Amino acid sequence: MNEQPYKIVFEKLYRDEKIVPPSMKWKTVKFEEYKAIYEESVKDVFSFWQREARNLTWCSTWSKVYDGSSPRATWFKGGKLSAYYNVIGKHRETWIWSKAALIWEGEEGVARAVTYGELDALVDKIAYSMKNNGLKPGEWIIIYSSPTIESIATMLAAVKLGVPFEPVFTGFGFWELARRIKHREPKLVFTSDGFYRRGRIIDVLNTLRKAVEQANYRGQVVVYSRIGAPSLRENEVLFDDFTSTNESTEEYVANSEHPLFGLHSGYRDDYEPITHSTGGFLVQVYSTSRWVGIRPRDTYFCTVWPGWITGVSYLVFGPLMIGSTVLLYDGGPDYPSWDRWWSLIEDYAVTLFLTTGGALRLLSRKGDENVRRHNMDTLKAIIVTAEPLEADIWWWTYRVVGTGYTSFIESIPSQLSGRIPVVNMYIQSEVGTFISGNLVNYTFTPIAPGSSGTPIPGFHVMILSEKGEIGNEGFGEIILLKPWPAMPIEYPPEYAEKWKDNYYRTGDYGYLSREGYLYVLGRTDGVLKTSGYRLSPGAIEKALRQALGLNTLVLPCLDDLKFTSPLLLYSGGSGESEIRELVRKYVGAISEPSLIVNLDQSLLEEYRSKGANLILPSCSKEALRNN
Amino acid sequence: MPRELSLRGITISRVGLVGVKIQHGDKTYCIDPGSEIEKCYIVLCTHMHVKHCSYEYLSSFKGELLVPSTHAGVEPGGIIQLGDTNILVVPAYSKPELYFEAPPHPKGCCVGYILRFPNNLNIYYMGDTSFIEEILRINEKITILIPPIGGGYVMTPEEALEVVKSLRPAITIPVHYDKVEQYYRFRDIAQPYTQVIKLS
Repeated sequence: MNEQPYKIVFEKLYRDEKIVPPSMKWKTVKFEEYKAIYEESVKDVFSFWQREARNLTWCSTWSKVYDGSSPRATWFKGGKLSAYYNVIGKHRETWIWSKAALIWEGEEGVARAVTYGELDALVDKIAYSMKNNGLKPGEWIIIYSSPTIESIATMLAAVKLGVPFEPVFTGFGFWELARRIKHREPKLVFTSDGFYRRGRIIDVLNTLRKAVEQANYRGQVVVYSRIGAPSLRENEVLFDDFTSTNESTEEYVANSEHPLFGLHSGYRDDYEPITHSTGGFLVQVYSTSRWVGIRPRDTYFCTVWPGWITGVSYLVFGPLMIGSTVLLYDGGPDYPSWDRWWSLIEDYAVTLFLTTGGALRLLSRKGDENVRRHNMDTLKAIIVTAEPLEADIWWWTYRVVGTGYTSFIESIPSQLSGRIPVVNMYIQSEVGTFISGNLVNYTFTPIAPGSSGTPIPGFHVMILSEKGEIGNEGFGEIILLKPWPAMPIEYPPEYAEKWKDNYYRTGDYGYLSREGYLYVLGRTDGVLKTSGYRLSPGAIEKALRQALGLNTLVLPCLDDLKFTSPLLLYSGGSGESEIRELVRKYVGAISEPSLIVNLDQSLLEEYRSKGANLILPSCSKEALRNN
Repeated sequence: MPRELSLRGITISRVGLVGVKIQHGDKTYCIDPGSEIEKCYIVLCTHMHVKHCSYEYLSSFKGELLVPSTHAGVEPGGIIQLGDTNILVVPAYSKPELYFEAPPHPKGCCVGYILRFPNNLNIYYMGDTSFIEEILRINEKITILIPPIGGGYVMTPEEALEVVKSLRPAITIPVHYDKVEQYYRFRDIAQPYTQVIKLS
């Protein structure tokens, strides 16, 4: 293995320092206290998660907490529960019912809000119509939309009926969407006619129609009119017409292992479907959401959309299970200027902000003034996820975003001394939730900037060294030594292969310090982590083979802004602009290569033979030559 | 910042320093709109101060007009039915003991309005008032509270917080403040009890 790229990343991450933010002065635990709780939890993860499972409401309790052997195993076997009750229904008859559940703001500056009670009523209408249209528990729906109240309500309606859903990120092109439609064979697809980006209309419906054609999909398409009044085709119905009745439906009581939702996770050769269960997933997401500090009186702004695991777990399920208010922003961070997110935090009194390392890296380059002209004193924590967070960027976020203007405990606003915790969390689609990171509302140890904190209780994180030895210190592939409740119930062979000798190889390379802080340094399997998105290089290669008959190889290269970026090698006669255009259309703009290099066939095959897992230390021809 | 907020089919936007417009179906309810009375179906005045309402602008207004002490029912306790909307008139005044000289809004000069729309949506526009005891006797579930927070002639952020704590509205849109610091102060202390939103 070429360790050079990981060393480059490590140098950017690691600093020998620990920080206790002033607001956490009386909440920070001693390292020994954390260790005691953590070790107790991983000594017997089954008892630990069984205790956590009792925080949900079950219609009948489980007979066995864990049955089978990983990867094919069932958590809480025999247990039955209503997922919808545990997410929304439980708030009925409480003060939460009349508070704002979702506040949506469009890029154009208009806002809408629904209380929990109104959200429930909307969900009921959608669920009734779905049921009336023949949807049955276990049949799939797909949601292809920017985040709107209606798209979230449609996910919840599916949850209410026991219908698993897959949200597809609108950054994916028609070809990728078509493949997801083919895989899931949904009975219904929800979409919007479009959304605004930098003032321009993005035509979502047109992309969906191309995908429907490509997939030869004959089911129903429900179109939410977000930007206008679209003229409809056969099998398409407007959301308002679809939900015109006011009937109620019963909540589906599911077995613990009933499918709840799915995503397509990026592997080296393609995106593959994985599905999470009802019981295990909800147990894990409810606990971790509380531990990261989400509370009922929080106004919570998560910039990661459903379509990615963070968005599903920590925009849809976690905060709603807790009863907090979720701010949905349907727009870009740079319109009309680069202070839009800070403005949202100021105007909606946001208390918890979740975003990606890639976004902070970009925003930090846009000048402190964009941040400092906004007062964000309501913030009590900033949660970062999806990719490594360099110590420099952590410090920028801590000082410039996290200090605020009002002194708190020992913070000194004039010196940008920092005030609130900035916590970087490690997550993976297959695990379903955060695995490692400082927990504002549980075992909060001092923050080591650049790290993903300490492993979360219940997740037995270890390191597999190059020599094949398992240890709790040093460099190597990050593994999970014990199973976790949100283990996928449907998965591809690539995931199953990562289970070996009863432990799970995450595919991420990392460093576990002597004190137990985890530093995630990049993928070991050639998968891209681009601006926080986990992308499949093979999917780009497949699209170009399909569209142009091109022979290509996509390698990840270290990128100062995006973490890793696709570097595309090809042989043949096509031009660079044609390739770029096709990648954008077929796979999506998020997969556009940073560098495209035309090579002789033989040289390209030489690179392929070196291993598609190669990470280039920079996105340049020079790096290519030297590797 | 958002220029309008919709909830249960009703859309609220701000007008000037103090006023709001509330769109309900094809009708626009304008409360203390100053000179911006175009497209108003009804103008509700809490009192006749130029930033709120002025006869100079209203003399040509052809729609429904509610002015305290001038129109029937526009006095504390009054109830006015307009189509499917029920408007409850509530007291608003400056507490004399808070002012060295004559209170800027003596009792009887001004009112507040609670607009009770269908779907149990109640909007309470407080008008220029101190935190007065009558507010504690309001027995309505308030969905959206629109309090003045600028201090001086009206409530301070701390006093407006007392209203929030008493009525527990789902959403609060503060108005009547000159300095953004007054918004920050109110937001920071009120947010745990309500969802504060700053409309432009």
